Amino acid sequence: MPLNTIKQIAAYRELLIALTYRDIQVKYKQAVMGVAWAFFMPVLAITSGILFRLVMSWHRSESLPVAADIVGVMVKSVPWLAFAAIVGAASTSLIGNVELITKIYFPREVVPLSATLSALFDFAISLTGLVVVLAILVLVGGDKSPIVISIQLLWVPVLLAMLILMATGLGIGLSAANLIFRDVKYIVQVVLQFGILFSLVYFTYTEVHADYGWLMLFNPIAPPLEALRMVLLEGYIDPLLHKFLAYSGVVTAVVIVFGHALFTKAESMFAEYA
Amino acid sequence: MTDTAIQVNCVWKKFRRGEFHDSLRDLIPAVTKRLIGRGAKSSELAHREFWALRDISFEVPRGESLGIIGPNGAGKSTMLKLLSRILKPSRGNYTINGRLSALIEIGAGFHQDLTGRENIYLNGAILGIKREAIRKKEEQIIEFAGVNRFIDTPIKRYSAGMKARLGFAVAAHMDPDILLVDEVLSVGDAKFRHKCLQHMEKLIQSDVTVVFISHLLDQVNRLCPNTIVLDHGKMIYQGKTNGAIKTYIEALREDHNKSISGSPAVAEIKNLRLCDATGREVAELDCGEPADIEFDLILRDAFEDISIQLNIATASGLYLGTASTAHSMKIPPHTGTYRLCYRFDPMPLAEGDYTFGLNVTDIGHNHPLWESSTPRMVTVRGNSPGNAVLRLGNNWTARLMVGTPRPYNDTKHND
Repeated sequence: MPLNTIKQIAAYRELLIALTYRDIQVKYKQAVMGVAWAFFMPVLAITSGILFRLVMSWHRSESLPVAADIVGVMVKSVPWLAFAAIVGAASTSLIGNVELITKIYFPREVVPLSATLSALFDFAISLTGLVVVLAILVLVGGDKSPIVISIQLLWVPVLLAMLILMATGLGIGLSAANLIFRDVKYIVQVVLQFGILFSLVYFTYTEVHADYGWLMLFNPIAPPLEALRMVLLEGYIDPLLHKFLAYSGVVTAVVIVFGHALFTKAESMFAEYA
Repeated sequence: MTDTAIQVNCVWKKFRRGEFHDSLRDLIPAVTKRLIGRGAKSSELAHREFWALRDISFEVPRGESLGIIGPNGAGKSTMLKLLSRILKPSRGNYTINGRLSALIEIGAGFHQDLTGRENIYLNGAILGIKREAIRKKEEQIIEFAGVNRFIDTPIKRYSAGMKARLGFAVAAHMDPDILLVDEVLSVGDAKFRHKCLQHMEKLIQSDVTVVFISHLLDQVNRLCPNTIVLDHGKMIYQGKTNGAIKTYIEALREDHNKSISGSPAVAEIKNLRLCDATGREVAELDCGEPADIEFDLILRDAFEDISIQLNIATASGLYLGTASTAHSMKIPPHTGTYRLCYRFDPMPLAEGDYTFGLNVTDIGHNHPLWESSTPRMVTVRGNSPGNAVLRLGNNWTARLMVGTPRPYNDTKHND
C-alpha cells in the first residue's frame, strides 16, 4: 500500500474504530450465546478434526490419536478459522456498507479493514482460550505434555501475522471484486467451506503421502499452519517447510499489493456500481 | 487560506444506462468483445452512455452560499456527489479549499440495532467528527433532535421522523468549512423544518460556505443570494437567485409544452391561455385585476358526466386550492372541442410564481381521463413584493363600541 493511503487511513482511524466497534456491538448484542460464540466455531472445528483422525486410525487399524495429534488439530484450527472469518467478513464488507459508500466520502479501505478488525476481535477471544488450554496441558502434563517449550516459539507471532496479513490482502481485493461481480461472494463462500481440508488443518503433509505430501504446501495457507504445529509439538521447523514459509511470505506480499491495486482500480467505480 | 472555497473547471460526468456486468459470467463475453473491437476513449460516449453533467464551471467564494436548482434528473445530486468525492469526474477538475462535509442523505450509516446514543457516535465518526467533539455536543444534539426519552432505545423502534431528526441534528452540529446539502431540509414536521432552516442561516452567517440543493424554491431564495440552474446536465443559468428561479420555471414550461403534444387521448386539454379582462392573451397576470384562464377541451369519446379541475399551487409546491366544474357546470355528453374559461375576479393571488395544473375526470366511473404532466407556470405581477400568497383586500371598517377607555395606569398593573 502506498504511504499516502496509510496516512489517509490513519486520519480516519476514528471511523475505523467506530465501524469495528459497531460490528462487534451488533454481533454480541441480542445474541443468545454472547462471547461463547467466539468458542463455538473453534470447538466445532476441533471436534470434527478429532473425529476425522479417529475414523482414519480405526480404518487403518492404527493406534488411536494421542494428545499430540489433538493439540496439532487445535493449534491449526483456530488460526484457520480466523483466516476464513477475515476473508469472509472483509470480502462482503463493501456490499454490506453500500449505503455509506454511495452517500459519504472516506477512504474506502476503512470498510474491509474494519471488518478484518472485528473478525480479529473474535480471534483474540478464541486464541486466549487456546492459550489457556495449552498452558493447562503444560502445567498438568509436566514431562508428558506434548508441547515443546523452546526459543522456536518466537515463530508463533510471525506465523500468525503472516496468516492475518494474507487474509487481509485477500479480503481487500475480494471486497472490491464482490461489489462489481455479485457472484464472487458465493465462490468465496464455497472455497472457505471446504478450504479447511486443503490447508493441512486436520493432518500433516507427511501423513498425506510420504513422498508427495509436500505438494499440499503449495497452498500458501498450509506452510504457516504446518509450521505452527511443528514449532509447538516438535520444537523445530524442518528445512523443506522453511522454503515453503518463504514462498508463503512472498505470496502474502503479492496478495496485499495486488489486492490493494485491484481495490484502488475499482474504487472510482464503487459509488456507481453499488 | 484563499478566498475561493470551491472552484469547478469544465467538469463532465458520464453515466451508463442499463445494467452493468453484474457477474463474472457476463464479464467474459463483454471483455472479449472489447478486446476484438477498439475500446472507447474516456472522453467519448460508448454505447448506452450519456453525459449526466456537461462542461460545468462555477466558483463559490468563501463564506457564501450557492443554490443549485433544476428539474429532476438535471444532474444536481451528481454534482454534489462529485464535490464530495463520492464520484469522480470523467473530465475536468475542481479544487476545494477547506474541510468539507456533505449531507447527501440524512442518517446514512445509522445502524438499526444500535441505540440513538450509539448511533450519534457512529454517525459522527462517519461524518468525520472526533469522538471527543461529539461527547461535548452530545446533549446539544439530543436536545436539537428532541428524542431525549428514546435516546437509549435501538433506532429500529424510532419513527421515520425521529430518525431523520436525529440524523440532521448530528450532521448540523459538526463544524465544517464547506457544507454540501442535498434536499435534506424537508424532513420532520413544519416546526422542525423551521428549526433546520434557522440553523442553516446561522451556519451561513458564521462564515461556512454552503452549497444547497432543493426543489423548495422558497428555501433556496431565503438561503442563497446566488444560484445555478442545471437542466439535462447543462448549466443554463448562473447568477442571482431571482433570475435562477425564473429560468428554472421557464425550463419547466418548455418541458410542459413538449409533453402536451403527445399521443391523442380520449380527453385532452390544449391551448391554455391567460387573458386579461379585455380578453387579450397575456404572458403574466396582474394581481387584483380580473383574469381569465382559457383552454380547449377535446373529447374524442362521449362521457355521461365529466369534470374539469384547475389545481393551483405555489412554485415551491404548496397546494392552494382547486376549482372544479363538478358542481357548477355540466359538460354535454358529446364528442367535440369545447372552449372553457375560468374567471378570477379579481385575481386573489399575490405577486409571485404559481403552477396551474389541469385534469379531466370521468365522474361516473371515478376514473382520471387526462392530466397535465407538468403544471403550467404562471407568474402574477403586483406591486407588493413579499412572501405573501394571497392578496387580501383592504376592506377595513371600524366602529366605536365603548366610550372613553380607562387610562392606562388605572389597571391592576402597578408600575
